[in-house]
Amino acid sequence: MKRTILLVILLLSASLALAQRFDIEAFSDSTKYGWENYLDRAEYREELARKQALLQLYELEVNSLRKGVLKSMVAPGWGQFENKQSLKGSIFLASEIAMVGASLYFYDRSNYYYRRYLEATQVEEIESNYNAAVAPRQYSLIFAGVGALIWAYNIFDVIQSTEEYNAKVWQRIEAKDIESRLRLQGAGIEIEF
Amino acid sequence: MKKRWTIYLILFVLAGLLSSCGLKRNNPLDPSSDPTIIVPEIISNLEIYPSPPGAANKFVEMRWRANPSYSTDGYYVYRGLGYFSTFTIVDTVYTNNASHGSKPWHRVVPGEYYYKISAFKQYPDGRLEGRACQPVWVKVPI
Repeated sequence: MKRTILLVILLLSASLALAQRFDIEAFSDSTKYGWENYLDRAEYREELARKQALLQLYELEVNSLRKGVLKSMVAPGWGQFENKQSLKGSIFLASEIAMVGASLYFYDRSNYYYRRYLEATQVEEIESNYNAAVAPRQYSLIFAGVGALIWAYNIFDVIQSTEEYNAKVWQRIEAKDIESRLRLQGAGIEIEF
Repeated sequence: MKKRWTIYLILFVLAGLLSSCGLKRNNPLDPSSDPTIIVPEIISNLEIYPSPPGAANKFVEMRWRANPSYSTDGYYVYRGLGYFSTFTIVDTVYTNNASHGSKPWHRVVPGEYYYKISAFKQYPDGRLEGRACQPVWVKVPI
């Protein structure tokens, strides 16, 4: 029993010796943040609250990159439309439809001749139908390839355009905020800081 | 990082497209896909004789040089109204001569016709027909 008490006392004294003293002065020293007085601190708080409010506005208006990419994957140009780039979105959508349409058209033509090739029993028909099926199949692949490139570039573009759009949103929110603090008065312009 | 993934995506799509290139020659009678398929030769020395004037039953007799037996099992007889017109099979024979008009379902009326012959070879998957010879003109008299 005595041994246990002695051990506890030893541990307590060791922990007290090792523990650092809590420096209340250092903790309450406001000058470390660059605040010279209470007004400075209040001003900083106000600025922080303003920035938080702007950030909330930004969060409301900003476009999600992930959603933009998903939308452009589903329908090329959709993400660009979301980023208010209607012309670019229209070009992507139209060119993708054109490429897919052309690819399907040539694929269908190729399949028509290929079916005839499979059914042919005359050597000339076998050769001519096979040759007639090859060219449209190549065109179909070329159009599909170009379509795939447009599709991939559209995804690449939506990443960039979403980042640009979001940067512009922030700039606009900041500009609006500055504008709201600029007041024209009888005595002149007043800027609220 | 995003750019790199986009490039990987493009390369993946292109690789998929390139790997799917080319049409397979799946016709079992296609000599280009199966080297054991022998294409019947074009027949030669086609001679055509119409029925004589005033004959009650009109007919057209044809003879040609027989193809080797390893490449040919029979012949199709075609008839058309013009050199470049559509030709129709009017008879199938297994020897190097034919008589169009000799069978009950043959219909030969006086007039001008073009005949051509093509050889065929029987395979388990069907008959492979070779190229037809040049059409030969004949006039069946009244």
